[in-house]
Amino acid sequence: MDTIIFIVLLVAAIFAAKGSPPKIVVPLFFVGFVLTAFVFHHHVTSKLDLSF
Amino acid sequence: MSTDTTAPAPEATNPDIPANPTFWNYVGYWFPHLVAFGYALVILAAISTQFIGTDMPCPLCVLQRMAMMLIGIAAIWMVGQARKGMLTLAGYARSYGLMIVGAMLGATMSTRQIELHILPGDAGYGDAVLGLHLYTWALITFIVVIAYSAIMLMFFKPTLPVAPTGNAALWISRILVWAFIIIIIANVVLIFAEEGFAWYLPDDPTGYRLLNPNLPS
Repeated sequence: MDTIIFIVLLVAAIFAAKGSPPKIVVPLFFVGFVLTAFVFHHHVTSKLDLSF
Repeated sequence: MSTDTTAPAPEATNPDIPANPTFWNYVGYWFPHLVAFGYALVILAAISTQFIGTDMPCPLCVLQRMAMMLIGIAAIWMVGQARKGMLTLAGYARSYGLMIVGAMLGATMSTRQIELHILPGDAGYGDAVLGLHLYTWALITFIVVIAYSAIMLMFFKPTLPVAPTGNAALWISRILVWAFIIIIIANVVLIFAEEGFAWYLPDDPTGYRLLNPNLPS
């Protein structure tokens, strides 16, 4: 998943560097953002032990 | 079929670009370069600790790199639009908005990692640099980016980025932007080597799973 996110970020960076229109860059940015947040959520919750 | 050769240049159709750019327009142009190139150097330093200090990046460290890249992408987008003469005030505000969103995500993740090592006696993850661990430095940079973006948005009109004319400025800009993109490519390769074909990185990585599939997950 992390590798996929870096590839998405790479594609977003290439379009951003070319000054592409918002309808391309903003969705790519948020795909990267959501995937990153999803993996963060996984790492926070996967080892949670809520039994006290 | 006719070709319209009288179409005005983008600069002429963009009413937000000042006719006579000031010093602050150029400051607004070069600051996003500093953000992207600065984060490229930070990630390069993190990669160097991976090889010199043999500190494998943990999942939270890698996620913070992603947040830094999201911020850098917003910064170089601003630069790319300014170079084409197509950066409007709306596009300028949009880019800084994306930078703040990326910085907030990064700050959340680095705060999480600080909390994991906040108990007295905990040595933290990895080596400290100038007395602070890398994730603490990361939180500081994310807070700085949020404050910087807020200040630039306060003065959005005089600091609208305008690309300087001349080949030297264009090439410096290209080198700084491509340094950032090369760092992303390096991360694609290194993280693929570390993660292999697993979905997630292990909590405490000890090597490269692509090269040694028997490593614990």
